[in-house]
Amino acid sequence: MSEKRRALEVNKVIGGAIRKHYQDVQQNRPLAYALLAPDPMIELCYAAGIQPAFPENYACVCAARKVSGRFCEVAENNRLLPDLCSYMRTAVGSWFAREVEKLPMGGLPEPDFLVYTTSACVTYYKWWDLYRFYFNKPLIYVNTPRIMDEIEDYYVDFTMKEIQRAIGELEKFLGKKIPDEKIAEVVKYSDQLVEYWHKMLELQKTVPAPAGLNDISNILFLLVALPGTKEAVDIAKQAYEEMRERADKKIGNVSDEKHRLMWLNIPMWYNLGLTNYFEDRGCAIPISDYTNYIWGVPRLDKPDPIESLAIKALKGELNESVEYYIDWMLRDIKEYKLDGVVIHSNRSCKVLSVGLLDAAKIVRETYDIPVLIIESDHTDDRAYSDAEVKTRIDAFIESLG
Amino acid sequence: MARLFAGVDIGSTSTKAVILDDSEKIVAYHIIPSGSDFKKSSRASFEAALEKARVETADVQLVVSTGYGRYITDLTSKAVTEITCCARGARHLVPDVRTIIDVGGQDVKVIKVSEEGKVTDFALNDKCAAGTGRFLERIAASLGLSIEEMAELSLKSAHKIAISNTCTVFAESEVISRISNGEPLEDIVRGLHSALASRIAGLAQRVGVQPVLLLCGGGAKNAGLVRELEELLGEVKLPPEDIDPRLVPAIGAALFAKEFFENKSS
Repeated sequence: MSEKRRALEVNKVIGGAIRKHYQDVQQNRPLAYALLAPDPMIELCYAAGIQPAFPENYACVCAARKVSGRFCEVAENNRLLPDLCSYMRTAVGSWFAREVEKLPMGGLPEPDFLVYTTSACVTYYKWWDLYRFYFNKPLIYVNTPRIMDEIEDYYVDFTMKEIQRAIGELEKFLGKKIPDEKIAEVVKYSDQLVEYWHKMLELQKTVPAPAGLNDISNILFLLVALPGTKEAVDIAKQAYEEMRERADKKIGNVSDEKHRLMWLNIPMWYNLGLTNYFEDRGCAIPISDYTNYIWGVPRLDKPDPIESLAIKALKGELNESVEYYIDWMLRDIKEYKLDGVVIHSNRSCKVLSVGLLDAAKIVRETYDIPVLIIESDHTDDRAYSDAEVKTRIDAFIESLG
Repeated sequence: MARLFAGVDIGSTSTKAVILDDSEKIVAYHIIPSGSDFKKSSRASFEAALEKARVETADVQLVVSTGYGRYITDLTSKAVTEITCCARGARHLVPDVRTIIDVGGQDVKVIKVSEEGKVTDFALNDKCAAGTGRFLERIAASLGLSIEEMAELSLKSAHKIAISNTCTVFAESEVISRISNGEPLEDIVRGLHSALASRIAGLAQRVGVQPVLLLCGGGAKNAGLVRELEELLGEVKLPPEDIDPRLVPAIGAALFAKEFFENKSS
């Protein structure tokens, strides 16, 4: 590793947790395909003894192993249009490729059923619907309202009723009751995880920032795949303590932090080295909308665990308005002491691309700081052009002074 | 002998070398196609410029490279991006410039500079070449015309025909279909210039156009494109007549060479 940046030690532990998760996915039944974006169904799966598997995260794994572009191509050869989400094309493509190619982590086995919450992006609703069509398996889902202004009480009431209905369907499918105390226990673990997560995001305001964007994205796996487990809480505690120690000793992820940037949109999972390219040039990326807003999961500390799950389902960038998102960004540019914003104009992610250029305009007008726009895709590496992207980054860093 | 400084811009289509003297005047320049060997083309353009200036390599105090091939040359280890160099060169030629549009062979850059000449924002076309010089080059080739003939034809037209600007290949098919419908060639060619201008203007508006607006790169040599851009963006300035508009980033690189040398010396 470069002497200019220092990855967190806890990454090794998280790597182990990722491998264990994919072993569990291969071995455990019943298996449900679940969503990543803040979805209360994940906690319910753990409470019910159901093994969740995450096609979206699996697409990231394929990207990190440099096979996502290949699987996108397989998906396109199997009737998925090239403009569709590359998470979807990668995961579905890997399924079509399973008999002729060696899949990373052994691939995702066919699920016993599907779970879903509508507060994620619109593609997901149809993606899970397509899985139902492919596998002819039950789809158990929670309907949620979209949030344009405040979260009204009746939105929460409605979502709680939806969660109760989904619990009833899960119990019917399993042929047994999910104990209330088990739901309360997983929600308690999920809340402890979120509490550490909030503390870690807060520590990133320290100058120099204790962790890099790749570290934080790695820690995010705990919220993605393991919310509601004690294992996730233990690893999050370890990550927090390591970051706390670094912050106290003023040890930064970037050894000579000169600039602090915000990253907007999903990272390029096939090219996490791009973050290092910034870091090696003295630019820390302590915050991204991906880690802080999409995964800005609220505390799950309401007296009624079902209410906590309902609020989890309603909050976050994917379900809230562009205005909220821009307000958060303007607040955090100040609080995280940022000197620039990097926007990943993400070809196949429509929902996160809406409002991005408006955000860029408002940032320029409000703070007079430079905004870099780079065009690529989060999972389809065929949309990435190294020379073009690095020329833009170099010029951006030159403009930072 | 006066001290000399050089800038070499190794672009996707052509490589440009410029030699400046102490007073920042251009002593010589040379432009050649970049080809596939950037080391060879950068050295060849630099040596040709030296020959025109009747000087030796040792007479040049420092060389700065820029352009896509800036790290691939063996002339120098000092590299600055073409965005920063273009802004520097443009301000040298037009001191009150605030927005620069550089229409190159495979890319278009829009650069915004502060009153002090610092780059404050920029935008480049994405991976599609439909908004670049290549758009006109490709269609000119299919029509059997030169770019200069295309520009002249465009200026003769009083009525432009709308042509899609989303894809060069589709635009080419559209042109052929318009010709077979018997529509006047000058109106079709003007439509092509207008399509390109509208794509460039869209990129410029993303950054926000502030006067004085300078157009440089190969596109600045095309009067048909200049007319269409002026319709969309208002007055467009060009580099002084004695300066080839493709040289602006190389001039900026040579100015950086002078600055780096003087900073090191002081």
